[in-house]
Amino acid sequence: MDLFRPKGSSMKYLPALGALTICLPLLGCGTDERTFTPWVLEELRGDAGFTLRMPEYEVPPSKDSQNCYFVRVPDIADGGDVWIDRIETAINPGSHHMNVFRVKTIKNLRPEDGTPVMLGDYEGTVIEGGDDFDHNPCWVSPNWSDWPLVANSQKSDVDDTKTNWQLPGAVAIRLTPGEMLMVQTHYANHTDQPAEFGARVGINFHSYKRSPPPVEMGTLFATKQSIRVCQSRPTPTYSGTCRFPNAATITAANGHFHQRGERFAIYPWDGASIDHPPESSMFYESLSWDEPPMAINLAVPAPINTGIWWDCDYRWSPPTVETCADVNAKDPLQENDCCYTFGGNTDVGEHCNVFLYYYPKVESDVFCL
Amino acid sequence: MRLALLCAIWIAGCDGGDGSVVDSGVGDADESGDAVDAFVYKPCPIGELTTPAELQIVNFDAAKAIERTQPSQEIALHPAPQGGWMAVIGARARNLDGCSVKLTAAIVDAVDGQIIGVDRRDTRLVVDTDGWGQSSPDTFTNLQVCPQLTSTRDMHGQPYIFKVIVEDADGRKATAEVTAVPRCPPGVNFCTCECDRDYVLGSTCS
Repeated sequence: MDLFRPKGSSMKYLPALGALTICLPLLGCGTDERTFTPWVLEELRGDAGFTLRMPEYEVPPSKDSQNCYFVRVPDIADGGDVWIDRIETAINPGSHHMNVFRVKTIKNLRPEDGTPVMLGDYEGTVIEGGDDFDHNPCWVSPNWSDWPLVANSQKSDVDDTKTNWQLPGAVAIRLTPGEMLMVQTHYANHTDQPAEFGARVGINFHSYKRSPPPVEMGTLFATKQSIRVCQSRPTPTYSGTCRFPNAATITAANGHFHQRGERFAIYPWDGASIDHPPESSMFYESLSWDEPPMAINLAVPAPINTGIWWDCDYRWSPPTVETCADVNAKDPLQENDCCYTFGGNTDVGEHCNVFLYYYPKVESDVFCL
Repeated sequence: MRLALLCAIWIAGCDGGDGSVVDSGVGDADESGDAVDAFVYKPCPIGELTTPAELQIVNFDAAKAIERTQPSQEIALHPAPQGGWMAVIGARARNLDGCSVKLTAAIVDAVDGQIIGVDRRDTRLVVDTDGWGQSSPDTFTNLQVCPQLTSTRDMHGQPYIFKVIVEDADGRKATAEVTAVPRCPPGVNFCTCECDRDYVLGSTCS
């Protein structure tokens, strides 16, 4: 198993920068600012694959910013399916997530409502969600509740902006020319995920060119939506299960939660027991909400009628930017206990999401909502 | 922040009055804004701890009122924020520590015995007038019923087994199960569509 892990120390930079600002004129301190080398990805053209580039923009300090970009899969295989077996991403530091979805049922997040934008060589549209997590359709998750995941990255590291995910063997993602994709970028320019170099995301989809017929990869998205992390009950754990429709092999996984997340763990589940799987069987663990690892090159067997079990452990802490009044305002139960509930903003909402990749995809991508 | 700490203790103390969780400002913020790790665990026994734990299953009805789950009854399905339909299942229990209970709920196919899904979380048992502790409404499990890619039957209008386990930190444990019928809200075709056996996510429900 390989893990895309953060390099270096945790990202508590802003206090350090603040101290630097103060002490520099007084003491003539040495420089300790973050340095960043802008990333470069090759441009894929023709049958090599295709390249998407989300334009650079600034994220206001202490603000979240979520954008939804829409683009159609280009026809690079003479009208045939587009098979992808390598995903490269390059993401400016401070990213909270970058998800690529297939657009299915349209609710209130409509590609045609977006502003035209060029995503590299391809025309697309963008709906800029800013930090309007209460109202903007790019923040309202029911709008993409049945949109299967294609790929994702949670890399946020200033020293390591790229991922290069080669799928195993003949495994590949099948895309259809003209199929609408949505690339969702989320930056949270807070203390733990500073985005002082601006938001900028690039993705390369490399074509499958090997000789065996490709084996289609499927994705599994699972979430706990009724989470509550409350001041008076500060260390809850939420667990769930999700079954595969067929015998499968798990090849990659990552977990996603927010600032109150302490530990995210995923296990194989036999589908026959409601007891917690043994710790020794765990194949994914994240102890870092702001730089969660992505496990790749897994080979976890999931026989027929089995699935996964996952745990999300939390520890309550006060909001870092907003206030408990803001947290209470979005609590549907109005308990006035500073309870973090399901929501996309990292300071006032929480998540407990599994992004998992498996093969072969037989019937459908898998959702456990 | 001292005021916040005092308030938290006061609130927690009130919770203790009904036999639920008591803590001492766990995770509260100190002057620096950091969470305080000053957890002082205080158990809250419900019933007689030396006798076997007992358990009854409860669920949310269509109006989100709590009802005892009876054999063959209908269990209301409730929509979840990001899609899907849930059975909201809780516990009434006694003879255990009501402040450290893990609540596990599972939906099991009554025909082939396959476990379709499991939800586990911490529950807070609040002592009722009859001496039993009941899950506070915000600590019921939300058990996903639909959509269910792996189901072999419709997930609505058909009997399924709902199995529930409670276990406290000292290992006092009770298990109960009941066969009941998940039911979509009347007239909500979107629910029955998503709960059909052959529904595939992303397909159109009219």
